[in-house]
Amino acid sequence: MSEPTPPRDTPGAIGSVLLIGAGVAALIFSSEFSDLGAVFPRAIGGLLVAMGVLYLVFYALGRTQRAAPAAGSNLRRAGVAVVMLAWAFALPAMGFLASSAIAFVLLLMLANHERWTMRTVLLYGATGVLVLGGLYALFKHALQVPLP
Amino acid sequence: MGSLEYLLAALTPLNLLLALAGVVAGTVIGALPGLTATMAVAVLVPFTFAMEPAAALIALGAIYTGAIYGGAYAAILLNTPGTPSSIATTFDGYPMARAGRGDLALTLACLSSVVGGLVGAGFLLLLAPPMATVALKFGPVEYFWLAVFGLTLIASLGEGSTVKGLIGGCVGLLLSMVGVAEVGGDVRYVGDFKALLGGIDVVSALIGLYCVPVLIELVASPGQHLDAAGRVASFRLQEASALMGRAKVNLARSSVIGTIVGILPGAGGSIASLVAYSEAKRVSPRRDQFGHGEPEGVMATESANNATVGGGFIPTLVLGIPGTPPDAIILGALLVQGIRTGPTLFTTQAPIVYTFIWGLILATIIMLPVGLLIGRFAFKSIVAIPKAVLVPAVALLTVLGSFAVHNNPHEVQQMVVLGVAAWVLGRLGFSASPIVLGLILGSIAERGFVQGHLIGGARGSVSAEFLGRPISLAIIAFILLGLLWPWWVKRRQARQGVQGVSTNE
Amino acid sequence: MTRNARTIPAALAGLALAAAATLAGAAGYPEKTVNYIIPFGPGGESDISARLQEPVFKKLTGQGLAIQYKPGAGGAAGWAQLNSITGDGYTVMGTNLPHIVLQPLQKDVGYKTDEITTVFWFHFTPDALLVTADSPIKNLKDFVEAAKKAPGATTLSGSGTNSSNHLAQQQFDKMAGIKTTYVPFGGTGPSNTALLGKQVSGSWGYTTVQMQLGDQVRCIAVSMEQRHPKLPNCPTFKEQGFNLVGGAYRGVAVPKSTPADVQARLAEILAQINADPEFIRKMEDGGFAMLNVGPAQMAGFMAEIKARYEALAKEMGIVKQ
Repeated sequence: MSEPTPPRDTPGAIGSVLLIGAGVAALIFSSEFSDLGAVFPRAIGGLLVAMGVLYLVFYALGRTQRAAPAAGSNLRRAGVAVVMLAWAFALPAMGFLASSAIAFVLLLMLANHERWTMRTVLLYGATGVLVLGGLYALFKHALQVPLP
Repeated sequence: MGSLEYLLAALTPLNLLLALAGVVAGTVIGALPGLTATMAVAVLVPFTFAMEPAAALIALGAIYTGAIYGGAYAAILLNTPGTPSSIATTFDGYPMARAGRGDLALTLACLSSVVGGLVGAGFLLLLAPPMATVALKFGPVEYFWLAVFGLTLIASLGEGSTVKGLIGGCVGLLLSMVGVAEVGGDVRYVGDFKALLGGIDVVSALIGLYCVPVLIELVASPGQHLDAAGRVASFRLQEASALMGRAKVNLARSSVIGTIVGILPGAGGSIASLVAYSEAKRVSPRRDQFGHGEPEGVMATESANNATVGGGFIPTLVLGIPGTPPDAIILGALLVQGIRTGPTLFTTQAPIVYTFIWGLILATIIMLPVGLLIGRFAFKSIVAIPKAVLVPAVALLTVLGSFAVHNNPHEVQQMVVLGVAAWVLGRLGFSASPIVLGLILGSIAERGFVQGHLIGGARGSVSAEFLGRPISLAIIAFILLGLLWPWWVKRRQARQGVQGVSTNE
Repeated sequence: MTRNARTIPAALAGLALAAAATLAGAAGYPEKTVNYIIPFGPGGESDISARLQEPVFKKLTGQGLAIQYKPGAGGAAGWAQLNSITGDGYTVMGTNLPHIVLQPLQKDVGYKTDEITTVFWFHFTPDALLVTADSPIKNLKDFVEAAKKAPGATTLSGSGTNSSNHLAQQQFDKMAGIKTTYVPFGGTGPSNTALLGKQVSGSWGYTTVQMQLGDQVRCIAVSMEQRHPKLPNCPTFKEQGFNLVGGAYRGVAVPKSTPADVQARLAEILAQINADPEFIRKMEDGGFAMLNVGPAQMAGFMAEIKARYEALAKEMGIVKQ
């Protein structure tokens, strides 16, 4: 065979393994449920495991294709994920304004690839204050939504 | 029919103003990713308590239909659905935007939404009580098979490997089982997290699954996410109208699908647009173009999801059962106003109902110029906003949007956790749509299955219950058709291809 | 132990003075809008009854009742947070039975029944056994006969598992010596659809459902002491020989830390609302049944109801291991 085959879908295989694990966990936990309540969890858990195994078989047979790897900064991507998670869990504790202000600034820094000039700092900062303040006022006062 | 007097009643300055304001507000809210139609209605309902019933209904209906349409903006320009109903619009809308045809997509979305909305409202006006009896004929078993049908769409959505899609679907199905089981009362997969007792909120999950991965990806590289494509965005009305004319059948079919899915309690715009999309793709000669910027995809989804507005009001008004999630909230508003829903609503309180329906129709018509104008403005501004500000702003909206539906911070947490998980899975090659389908349809499927099982058991035969009812059999036929059709078409093409090769030599 | 004849009047006078003093202490309450949190979504019975209370509250106290929604986990999301709210009397929460008794029994929901301080139970929606208007079953006797002939074959829809509907079905089955199949649905709406669509033979609903569905359904029995004023044609279970009274109860609770005098004043206001003839009329038009359980009767009422529900729960096997 002289044709270059596209690389095998290792990430997909890894994902399948993880999800097979999830399926197995679902099956194990379902033993505590009542009969009627366990039907679907068992059926779907079993299906998940079966499909995961099937994908691994395809992977072994070389019949899978890996999608092109994504370019760009993984560090920034992870940063966004971490900031948003921290934000969501800090929300009840820190209150809406405080947690959102911090998160907004952090995200601004993560998203901005250009250099920070005085102008951009002021411009973005002002926009942030406006957007955050405006939405806060809108939701809390105009719409009477009880933000934390 | 006496409806003309109600049309006149709907044309009062106040009602028109409410319709206009509602459409504008709804469109803007729907366009902002993270803020959904359900949230818009939920937050604005308390303000309608002070209004007259017909006026309140018109305001809520206008907001609702505007929001369903507005979701297309974020879908097309940001690849995030502004509201769950526009998930399927991202499939072809965003590729069109990337190819520089974003303005065309927006115009098509507007025109299709108006068409779909009018079809749905038309059914509501003319056929409400008989269509509601259709809804009654659907029992638990029918819902089960419908959910199965919806799940088979995973196979036909065809983004990447079908097996991976099915795995995603199973993940979604498992997620739908978290919380207290509706039938049986088991507490499932909650562990020590009391926050999960209420289950996973669908709206928060949808916002997370679609918006968060996009946000994460946006920060990865510099540069604008959409090129302004040099020339000024225009309405491209002529081109759009030509395309619409060519797609008459698609539009009609999608609108009817949307209306029917709207009638079925619980199923809303997100499912309607996915079904319409799948059907449009299945019968189109350009089916390979779907997912890569095919205008018919956008037309199918946008007409279907706006048709659910009118369709969803049918069971809401006639049976008191909400057809779509926003209808559940509107129903609450109606009950507070003292409006007794039911078939008698159309006779004893006909003025209110018919004035409202005409108001909805007017709001939908108003959506045409308003939508086009707002669309142009949105296009110009979203393209121009630097990514640095876009990301935190959209993130803020997702947090607000997932909080405001039920005033529950736990739902914000669900949103983010699921969003990050979806991003990880996306990197591993598992797309979000099958997970979403599983999540939405899982509870419908399980409920239908267990209830059908109980009823069948009581009647003596479970299998007769599941396989013996006429409507169920029709749905099962559709399922088989949907699964076998692509395979049969491929076989036919292969055979013709072989013949073609031999004759072209 | 004999009591000195003089101490009784003295004690009573002292009590009256103390009562007057505490009421005077809370006389300023409410001085601003009271937040009324409903742990369910809008449009449900809890919401509707709260909204009917609101104008009367305003009339009596001059202050408004601001209704907020905090749905989640069937009400548990709200009740679990109740005691962490400031107990100044300006935030109150709707409570429901059987929920606040059954939920903690089944699983760890973040609160215990005794931690919920309800100051007043102001109405209940009585359970009602319903069939479609064209059903061959014309009355309770027919129903029991049909059920006896084919055990388990009678399907009855209801809202939720381990809800008031479900409890009613279990209790009645036991009382009548029959076996029916309860099919839970996701709420009153879907349960009604199933009934109207004839997916099931009948439905365990509420009087409010009968009012909503009107002529399409026939109410064959209702679980009240006497017939509901707006449903004169629906006999009670009692008059047909079954001692089944109850339904879903609704009340108003405050955080544990709320001062006793504020609680008493709030209970007094709620009792006054309950006596307002216009309020009563609107509630009964909706199918609700009035109830007045204030602080004086609270302990006895809760003890009795808890005992009843706990016994049922044990029988139904829904107590957590």
